[in-house]
Amino acid sequence: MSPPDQTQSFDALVQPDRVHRDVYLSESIFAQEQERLFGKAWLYVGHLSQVPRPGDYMTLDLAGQPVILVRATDESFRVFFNRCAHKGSMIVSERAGHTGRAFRCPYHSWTYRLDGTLLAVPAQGGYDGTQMRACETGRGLTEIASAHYRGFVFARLAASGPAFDAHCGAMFHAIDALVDRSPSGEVEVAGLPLRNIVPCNWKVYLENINDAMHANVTHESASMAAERVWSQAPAGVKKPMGIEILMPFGSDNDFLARMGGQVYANGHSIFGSNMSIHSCYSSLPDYETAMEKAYGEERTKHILSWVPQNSIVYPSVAFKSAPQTIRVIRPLAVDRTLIEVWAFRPKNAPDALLERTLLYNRIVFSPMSIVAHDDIHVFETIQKGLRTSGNPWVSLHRDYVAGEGDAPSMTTSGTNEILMRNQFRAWRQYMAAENAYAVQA
Amino acid sequence: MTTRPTNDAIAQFIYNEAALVDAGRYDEWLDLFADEAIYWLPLSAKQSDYRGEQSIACEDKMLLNVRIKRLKGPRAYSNQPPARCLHVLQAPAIEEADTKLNRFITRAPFFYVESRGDAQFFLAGRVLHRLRVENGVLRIVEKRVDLINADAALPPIFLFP
Ligand code: FES
Ligand SMILES: [Fe+2]
Repeated sequence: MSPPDQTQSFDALVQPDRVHRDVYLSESIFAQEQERLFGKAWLYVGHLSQVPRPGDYMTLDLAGQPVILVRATDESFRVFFNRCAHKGSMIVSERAGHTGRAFRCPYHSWTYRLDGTLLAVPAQGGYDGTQMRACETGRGLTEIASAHYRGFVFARLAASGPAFDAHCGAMFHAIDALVDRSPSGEVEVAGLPLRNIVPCNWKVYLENINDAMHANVTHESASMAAERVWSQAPAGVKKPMGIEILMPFGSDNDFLARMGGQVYANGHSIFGSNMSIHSCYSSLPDYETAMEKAYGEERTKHILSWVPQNSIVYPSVAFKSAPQTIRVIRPLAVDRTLIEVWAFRPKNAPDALLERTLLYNRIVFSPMSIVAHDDIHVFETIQKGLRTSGNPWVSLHRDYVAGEGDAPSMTTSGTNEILMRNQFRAWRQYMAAENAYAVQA
Repeated sequence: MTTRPTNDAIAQFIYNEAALVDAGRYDEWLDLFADEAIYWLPLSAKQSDYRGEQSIACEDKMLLNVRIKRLKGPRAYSNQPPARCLHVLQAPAIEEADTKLNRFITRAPFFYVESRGDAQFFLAGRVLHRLRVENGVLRIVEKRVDLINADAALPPIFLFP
């Protein structure tokens, strides 16, 4: 890669129709992304169904910083840095739990109310006449800006920045598409998440979520195997859900183009804005009846007919409305990404709906996924392939038209790489805060 | 009423099952499963049902067959170079042997190593086999694999722990 003393501008790395390999390979750029991009963007935290009662909490890392989501009172929730105000010990270490009315630090037993304020300090006389209560220490747990839309909680690490609605509001209809699939208009997390370590840069993964043209190539092994097994099934057998999930991975390029795509400001996108490989799943009769009872025939038809492939709230989460599932993207290192996959149970819907989501996630998003294995193989080789000298560029040229980035939002073909270029436009905006960086070897 | 297979026959069956996977003899391995069998890796040892919650894997015989056919195909890029695995099993404890119900349940701690190219990783856990006798031979009705780190962020597991 480039010599250590070289300084380049992000504009030179991210051109309108191609990007320099350093954005995937440079540790220095990765460190700056953590600060400038993940430090400023609204990041997905969790779902309110994971913390139903006051005192319930869950923990996670955002851009390498441990945080806690806690239900404070029935209505309110808060997100704090998971760091004791005293000497920095983490307040809780379980991924989820219940803390009662207060948090108690395991180091010197300082306690905090659910709103983060300091409740008690042992032998507090020792602080009489000191600055402890007047400085940061006395303020208790540091809170982070947080907001939710229909139970999906997001947080922003930076103390100031755009409001959640302004920044992510364009994607709320994609969240509606998931939640409205519940006859009661409510969903809840079903079980634990599938957790994957993927050996690639987070952007390789995020671009792939919008990559129509890879599906029938990379996943040929899975769709062909499903087709072969299905062709040997005795006549008259109902097509099993697993086969129904696997075969459309072989959809042809014409179908993939007709799926449609939509890009929005701030890097957000919908791949499959017209239809998707999920559109052809067989209907579940009991479910449709329940939906019609709740929403009426017309609105039910409207809800069930819109099945985008992937809706990305850039840069941390991708929604599917059917199956009801999300993928959460957490960069760990320049070439290592954690992907968490959460399934959602639509309340008051027949079990078959959740069963399809669970099956889909096992087949497609699990560490044992026979679909993702071929993706992961390619992702890993990209990290290696990009190290070759000669051509430092990654192509994003497909269907590029000069000036396309001027419109904040546009609809296009499913195979247009504008869905990736749009991510890089947002990337450049985030990163350009100080428009230069020092490349590390 | 079935004839009770000896404890040794049950143990040999379980060792053979692992050996077939380790040798890559997947079709013979699949033949060990009963028609409605389930191969299940839950996300938690507490999980009592694969319905209603996520699992790392939960496959019927048909999906296992898809998995095997895929591995043999020329376009299974993740199997180039091919993954190899090795099971190291402790002697299985027989938890239940009910000839009336034709149900034999065993549990064994194991190590599982998977390698591909220069990379290698290992998993450890307990494997439960629910078996029955069909036409005089043992068949797997359920194979449940509880990894001790099932809830951890895992690398891709290419074969069959
Ligand atoms: S570090 Fe938490 S009480 Fe001392
Ligand atoms: Fe893929």
